[in-house]
Amino acid sequence: MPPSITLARAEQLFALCNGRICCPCSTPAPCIPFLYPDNGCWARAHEMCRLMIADGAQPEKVWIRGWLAVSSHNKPDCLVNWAWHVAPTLQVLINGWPQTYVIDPSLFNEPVPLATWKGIQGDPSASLTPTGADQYWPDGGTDPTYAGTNSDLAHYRNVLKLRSAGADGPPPYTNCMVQPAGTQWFGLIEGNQTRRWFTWGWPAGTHVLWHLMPLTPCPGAAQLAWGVAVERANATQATYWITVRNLTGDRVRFAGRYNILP
Amino acid sequence: MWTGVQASPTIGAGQTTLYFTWGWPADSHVLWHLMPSTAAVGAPSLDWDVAVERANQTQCTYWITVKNLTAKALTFELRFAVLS
Repeated sequence: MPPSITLARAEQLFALCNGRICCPCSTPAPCIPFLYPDNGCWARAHEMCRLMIADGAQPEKVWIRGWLAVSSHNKPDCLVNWAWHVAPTLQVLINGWPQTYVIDPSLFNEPVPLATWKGIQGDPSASLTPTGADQYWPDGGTDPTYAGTNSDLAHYRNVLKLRSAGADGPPPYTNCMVQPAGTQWFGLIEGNQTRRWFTWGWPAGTHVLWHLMPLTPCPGAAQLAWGVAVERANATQATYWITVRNLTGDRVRFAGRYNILP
Repeated sequence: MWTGVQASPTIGAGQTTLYFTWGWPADSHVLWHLMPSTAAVGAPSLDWDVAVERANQTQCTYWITVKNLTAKALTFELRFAVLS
């Protein structure tokens, strides 16, 4: 068994892997297509192991087999079905005892205990098989040169890019999401586009502030800027006009948010 | 709501500088504004624009472009308000 690490170190390694997340519309290599959960987990897991090993860690892998079904807002129909799935694991010291934690940014936003990882996949009778980091396929086989990994990642980057460029647009898919309080609308804006949205019927006596939040991850540069204008529609109501500017060449899904100040 | 000062940089005369601040929870509603620490009477001193990057599933990076409208260096507070 590899040496145990702290949870803080596991979180650091999670961030190392998740920091390689692909911008879904451009998917520049060597990014990892976490936002295409449908397929390719074996290549993502192998690449994550490579990154963690290069950072001095000793990951392993866990394979799960069963009738797996996972809710995901990164697939247009909101549901991913797998016969098997794989992710890297780390031994984490919790209250002095080593516990297996899973690094799987396609499912979670942080390292999670093995039971949590299994529990979300919808099949209580699914089987778990731990292996070393070197195993590439569920039934064996390795990829020591990462040639297969690179080829498979390139394929799934392209599949993600094609989906994002098509009618579905880039993830996340807002039909799979609950609109949070303080979000007036979900929007999609094309690359380098400037568009204006309006929202009417707001009480003119109320202090309302507007801002935007991109929902489509794309690390490295600012994605959206915005301006707000206002129309006094009648004695009591106002209409806000929000101009959204996409600073990138990629499509971006976003949330239009407001706050009512006291 | 809570407020704070993220940084207190100095910007040169007539300069435009881009600042970024990363690791903010994307679920939070955060607004940004500036306040000059250096007095300069008679005209506006600073102008700014905010843009945002979704860095990953849970975090974002704010990019604040600051323009010094005066002919002398200014120190200012880069202020934020977490509204919800």
